Amino acid sequence: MPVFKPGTRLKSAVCNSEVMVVLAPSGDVALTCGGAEMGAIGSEAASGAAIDAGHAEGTLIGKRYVSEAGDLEVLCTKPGEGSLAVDGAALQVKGAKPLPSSD
Amino acid sequence: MIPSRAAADGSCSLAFADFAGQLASGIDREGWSSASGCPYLWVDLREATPPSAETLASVARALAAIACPTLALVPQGSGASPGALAACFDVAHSEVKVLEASAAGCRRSPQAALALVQRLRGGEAESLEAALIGESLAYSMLQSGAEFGAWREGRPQPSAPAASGRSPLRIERSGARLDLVLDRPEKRNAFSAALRDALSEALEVVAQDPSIEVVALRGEGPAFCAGGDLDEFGSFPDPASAHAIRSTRNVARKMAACAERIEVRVHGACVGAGIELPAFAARLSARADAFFELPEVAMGLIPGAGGTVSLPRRIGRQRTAWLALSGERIDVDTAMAWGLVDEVWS
Repeated sequence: MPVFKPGTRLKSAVCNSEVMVVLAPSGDVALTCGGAEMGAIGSEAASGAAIDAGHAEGTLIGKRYVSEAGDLEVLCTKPGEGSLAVDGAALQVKGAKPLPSSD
Repeated sequence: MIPSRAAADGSCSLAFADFAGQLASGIDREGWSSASGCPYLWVDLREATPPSAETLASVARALAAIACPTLALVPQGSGASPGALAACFDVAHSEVKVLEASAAGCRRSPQAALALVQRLRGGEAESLEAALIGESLAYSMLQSGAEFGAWREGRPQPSAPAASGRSPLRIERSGARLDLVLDRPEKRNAFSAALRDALSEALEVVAQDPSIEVVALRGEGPAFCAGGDLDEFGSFPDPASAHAIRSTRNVARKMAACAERIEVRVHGACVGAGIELPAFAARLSARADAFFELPEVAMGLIPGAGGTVSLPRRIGRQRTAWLALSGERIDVDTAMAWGLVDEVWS
């Protein structure tokens, strides 16, 4: 299992999703998308692998996703059909702090 | 007291020789001020002989500190580069009618007009970041002013930004290209807080992902962007908080930070933020029906989406001041001639 650091860019093995690591825990991280482990950008996607039906909520570009513990945060830079999970637990969308209009 | 021909609107109108003479005599300049009831200073340069370098420098220093917009009437044919003397003024033009259009804005909103020209005088020497902060400070100051208050009185109560399920921005990624489409056609893509948030989020991706080589920004519907969302105008919590909000989430700053990768295609109305933000992009093209307008001064405000920073960098501070003070609309031909847009398409 790879060690992530902020700035690491990863792509899904089973869909078009790409993310950039914003915050990572110190140890090994098993980040999956669509149920399959994500790999470094540039690595070959596992051909023919399908999205796990339990991990098919999709990712949205521009959204930040965080682990329940809050120790892993990624920014989606390319959307896809798979959804993100770490150690089997789905990452949640981290909404930007709502700010009122300044006008 | 200023011994000069005072116009009915309280403004002061002088030939350059008299103006220079008054400066040299150490006259009290407090009369040339919107606070003294003088909304602008009008100086006729048509008969001016080119001043010495020393005089020019002292005139430039004096003009930078005058507390109202300074308008210069320059000789016919002096065209786009009216010389070092004219360049010291806030606006310079050879046609009385054109210069008068900016005077009208000064009469209507003297405090906003003053803040505008002061930002433009100072902005040229500042970093982009410092200029954006200065714009926001001035904008917030005016949000508490009587001129904006009077504008608001004539309007329905502002509504807090509506939470709608639909995103006001379409984001499409294909390889190295990111398409951003303003998608509130029913509101002519008015720049709401929700649109601000969506654009800010999308531009964050651009900032973080160097594999995005081209960002193409355009608008859905009849207009690229009709400006700030007037339904939300006046809904800010208080002026100091509004400044803190603009400092926290600022689309202009994010546009400027990745300007080299951004191409904007505009059409129809490009009003307020609808031209202020595109003007940051490295490449800006306009459909033949596009028009451009800065309406804020008539509302007692100044451009607040980065326009006092982005427009001077494209068209210079005097044309920016004229656009903002006059509130007049310019078409693509003028925009092209001025360098406000880089290309016109049909």
